[in-house]
Parts: sequence; C-alpha cells; structure tokens
Amino acid sequence: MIEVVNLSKTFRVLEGKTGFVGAVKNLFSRDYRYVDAVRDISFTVKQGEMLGLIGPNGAGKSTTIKMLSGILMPTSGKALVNGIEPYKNRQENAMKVSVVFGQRTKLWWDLPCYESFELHRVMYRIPEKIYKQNLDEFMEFLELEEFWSRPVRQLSLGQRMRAEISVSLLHNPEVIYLDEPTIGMDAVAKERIRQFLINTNKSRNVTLIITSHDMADIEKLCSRVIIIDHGQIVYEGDFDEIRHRYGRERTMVVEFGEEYPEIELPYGTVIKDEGLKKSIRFLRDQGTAIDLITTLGKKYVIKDVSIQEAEIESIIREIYEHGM
Amino acid sequence: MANFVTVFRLAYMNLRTQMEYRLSFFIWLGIKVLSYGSEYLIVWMVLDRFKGIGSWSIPEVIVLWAILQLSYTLAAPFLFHSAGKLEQHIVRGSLDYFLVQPIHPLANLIARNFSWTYSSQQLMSAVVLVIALNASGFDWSLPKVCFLLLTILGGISFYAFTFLFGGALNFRMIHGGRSIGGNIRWLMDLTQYPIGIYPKQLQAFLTFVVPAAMINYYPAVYLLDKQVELFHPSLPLISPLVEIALGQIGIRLFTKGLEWYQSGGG
Ligand SMILES: Nc1ncnc2c1ncn2[C@@H]1O[C@H](COP(=O)(O)OP(=O)(O)O)[C@@H](O)[C@H]1O
Ligand SMILES: [Mg+2]
Repeated sequence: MIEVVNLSKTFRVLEGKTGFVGAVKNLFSRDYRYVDAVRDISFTVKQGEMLGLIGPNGAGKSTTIKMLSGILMPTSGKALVNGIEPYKNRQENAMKVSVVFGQRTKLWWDLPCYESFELHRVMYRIPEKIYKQNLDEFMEFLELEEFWSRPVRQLSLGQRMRAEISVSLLHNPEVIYLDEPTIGMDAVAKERIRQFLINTNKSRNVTLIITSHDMADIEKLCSRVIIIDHGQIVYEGDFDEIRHRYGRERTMVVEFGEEYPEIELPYGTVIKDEGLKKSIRFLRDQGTAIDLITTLGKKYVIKDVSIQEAEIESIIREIYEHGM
Repeated sequence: MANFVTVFRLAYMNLRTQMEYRLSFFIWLGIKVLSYGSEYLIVWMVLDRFKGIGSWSIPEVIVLWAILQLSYTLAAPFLFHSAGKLEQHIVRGSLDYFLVQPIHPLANLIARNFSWTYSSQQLMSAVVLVIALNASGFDWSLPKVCFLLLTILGGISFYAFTFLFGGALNFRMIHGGRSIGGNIRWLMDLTQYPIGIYPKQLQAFLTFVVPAAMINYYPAVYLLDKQVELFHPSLPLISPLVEIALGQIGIRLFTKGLEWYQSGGG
C-alpha cells in the first residue's frame, strides 16, 4: 500500500541576500548550508492502518509527510503510494490522497465555509451522490451547521479543523496525511477530532498517517508508531510496547491544602517544590499513582492531583540510554 | 473540461473575496482609470510637440505604445498579482496544498489571484490602439488583422515569460525571484519608442538578448508597412512566434522549477 525505501531529504539553504542586486548575486552564489532533514528511512504501511509519526520539533516529520504526499521531491530513495511515486505523478496522486496541515488552511479565508466545500466538489469531480452522502455524514458527526455560512476567518481553531478534515475527505481518499492536526486546540476539540478520525478509519478503511508531538493523540489513535529523531527512525512498533518498555517515569503534581516543609514519600522524589504545589517523580515499577496518592492522603491534606504523561523527549532519551 | 470548471470556480471565488472588500475594490478601480488616463494624456501631449520620432509619425508611435499597453494589461490580471502572491503562497505554505490538488499548480495560482481591476485599462488600450491604427492608415485586411491578434498574443506571452521565469527562480531561492522577473518596467519605457532611434548595440540587445522589441516594434514594421533598416528582413514576421515560443518555455521552466521547490518550513 505505502512503501518507503531509503527515503532521504537534504534541504539546500541559501544564505540569501535581498533586493534586485542581491537576487542576481544569489543566482550565482554557492553560499549554501545543507540540512539533512530526513535520513534514509524505510517502512511500510498497510491499507486501513493508522500510523503515528512522532518525534520532537525539527525531527523531520513534516518533511516525511511532504515527500509521501508528493509535495517534495526526495533527495534520494523513493516512496510508493498505491503503486505510484507521488511527487512524480502529482495530479494522479492528488485524486487519491488528502493532506491536512494543522497550522495552515485550504479553506477560503474570506468566504463562507460552504464555498470551500463546493470548490472541492468541482475540483475533485465528486459525483453528486457521493458528495451528498459524505456531506450528510460529516454534517451530523462534526456539526458543521454551526458555522456553515460563516466566513472561515471567523471560525475557532477547532471548528476550522472540523471543516478542514471534512473537506479533505469529500473525495473518498484512500490515504490521508495529517500533520499536527490538533496543534493549539483545547482538550474537548482535540477529543472530538480524534473520535472522528477513529470512526472514519473504521467505516471507510482509509489509511491514516498522523504526526504529532502530543503523545496522547498517538496513544488514542495509532496502534503502530514510528519515532523519528534527527531525521532517522529510532523506534518502530506497537504503542503499547513503548509504554511497556519506556516511559517508566511518571510525574505527579500534587497540590496540598496546607504548607508542609517536608513530606514523607513511600517512593519517588520531589523534583520541584513550589510551596503548596509539589512535583513528584517515580518509576512505574515502584508502584502506581493511585497507591502513592492514597498513602499521601492519609497523612496530608490534598487539594488537587494531576499526572503528567511522559513526554516524547523523555522517551527518546530512554531509548538512547537503554537501547531498544 | 472539469479543469476549466474548477478554474472558473476559483476565479469566481476570488472575485467574491475581492467584493468582500467592496469599497477598496472600487477605489482601486477608480485609481487605475485615473492614473491610466493621465498617462495617455501625457504621452499624447509630449508627442504633439514633435512632429513624430524619426520616420515614425505620431499615430504610428502611439500604435507602438498601445500594443505594449494592451498586451501588458491583458497579461497583468493573470500574472502580476500571481507573481506578487507566489512568494506569499510559498512562505505561508498554501503552495503545498496546490501541489496535492488535481489541477496544475499554475492554473490554481493564476485563477486564485486573477485580478478583476484591469478591465477599464484593457478597454482604453484597445480603443486607443484602434484609433491610432486608423490614423496611421492601417489596412484592415484579414491577414493583417490576424497578425495583429498574433502580435497581442505574443506580447502577452512575453510578459508571461517574465513572470514564469521569476516564479521558477522563486522556487530556487524563495525571495528575490520576483525582483528579477518583475523588473521589466524599464524595458517598457525603452520600447514604447521606435527602437530605430537607439544606438545599434541597444537595438541588438532589445532584439536578441531580451527580445522586448518583438512585442511591438517589429510587428508594427509589418503592420504599418514601414521601410526601416533591420538586422534581418524576416524579423517582423517571426517576432510574434518567437514571443509565443518564449511563453511556452516559461511554462516549462515553471513546471521544472516545481521540482526544485523546497516548501516552507513548519
Ligand atoms: N523548506 C525548508 N528549507 C530548509 N530547511 C528546512 C525546510 N523544511 C524543514 N527544514 C529543516 O528540516 C528539519 C526537519 O524539519 P521538519 O520536517 O519540519 O520537522 P518536524 O515536522 O518533525 O518538526 C528541521 O531542521 C528544519 O529546520
Ligand atoms: Mg512539523
């Protein structure tokens, strides 16, 4: 279905000068800096799979997505999607895939939302029946009516993403690439997008490739993940496996009702002390968060508790430290 | 066919967007009519003080000028807005989306940025051209009229080339492509007069290096049956074809340039 073989991308960055004279100089300049954004990655994705690409900022996730979707030419290696190389057959590829970038919009900024749907119907030559069927489904599930005739510039981030994803699915793509689709959204909006993506994947058997640096996105959506760092794959496999082997550290933030200069812990250490609010780090092997809070609750007055998920950065650190 | 429908749809949405800012749309239109009208007036007044330039009478010089203006104002709504926006589309990342849509990115770009404010100028240029041709004793025969149309198409192609060339450079370096491709105002200033009045070297430059004189000067030599000294007698007839070929090369370059495209960051 999707086959990626030794894919690499090196950007050539010109230390550019501006103005007319500068532009002419740039033409002949050899003053380049090279950035190896993606280095020799290979993997395959099956039809209907939900694959998560995770990694810290600058890891090469977006660059990978751009090559897979046909926007960028790879420097070497190749990607095959439905049997074609997307960047060499852009228009053929376009009919069968969709891309959503979290920070950008393909909707028409100043026009009512529905105009952009109409445009996609025409552009992708979507038969009336399929268009209507899809639209009805999205309308119901994502409640597009709420903002259907409002100019896109007035939509909230969550509303815009609902419209963005709907429009991207109108032509029944076989693959949809989502680059940081939930970035900047609040928890409720995120959850709604995730639910919709899960449903869509099930009901349409569409392949989803999602990048995020929010671990929760990937945890909820993807059964399989690829972790990228510095343009290379450092881990490929089940999400549960990662949880099992890495991310052993937990951080719990406890807000006490009274000042305690010193607290006695059954396990773990206080890593940050902000008076009433203390951050406690412990290893999952040592015990559960529930046990910890129950023990503390017997001795101290506790107002609030939250548990911080392991950050992608700390998981990568563990992978480097302990190997796979 | 479906592509045409899409392009019209894009252009229509673009018009609606421009109408959203209705006031500025009409103010813009007004400014253009005024500035353009005064430009005509000035040229007319200046020329009126002389009896013509070299062997070219005043109406004949105006023919040169009107061909230049008409092809420019026909090319501009398609190209110059798009040229200006291309850099924006790259930086903002919307060009990325154009590359995963099933119509040619160039068609996408042009239709989205089509400018509707040139109609008055196009009309004025066309009217001036017809009047000046009549005053020059132009023979409205079928072959000459066809050649006139070909000439205008050639002019549009030349401007298209400068835009497409600039665009291709933009893919290479993001900034600056436009300042190379878009700097053609000085060319127009030179070629609005019969280039026969310039030194031979400059004439050669405007013919063989940057063939701007092929937009109006050479075709006009044929259209108005001028007896002037030329580098080669075939130049008047082949000029529009050369310009049209240049336009085609521009499209190739632009498409090729998309392979260099590195996308914006993020
Ligand atoms: N168009 C570009 N030109 C130059 N460098 C780029 C470009 N796009 C990305 N990069 C660089 O490539 C690396 C990977 O970027 P990216 O794929 O955007 O990472 P991610 O999406 O994982 O945050 C970064 O170092 C980034 O600065
Ligand atoms: Mg990114």
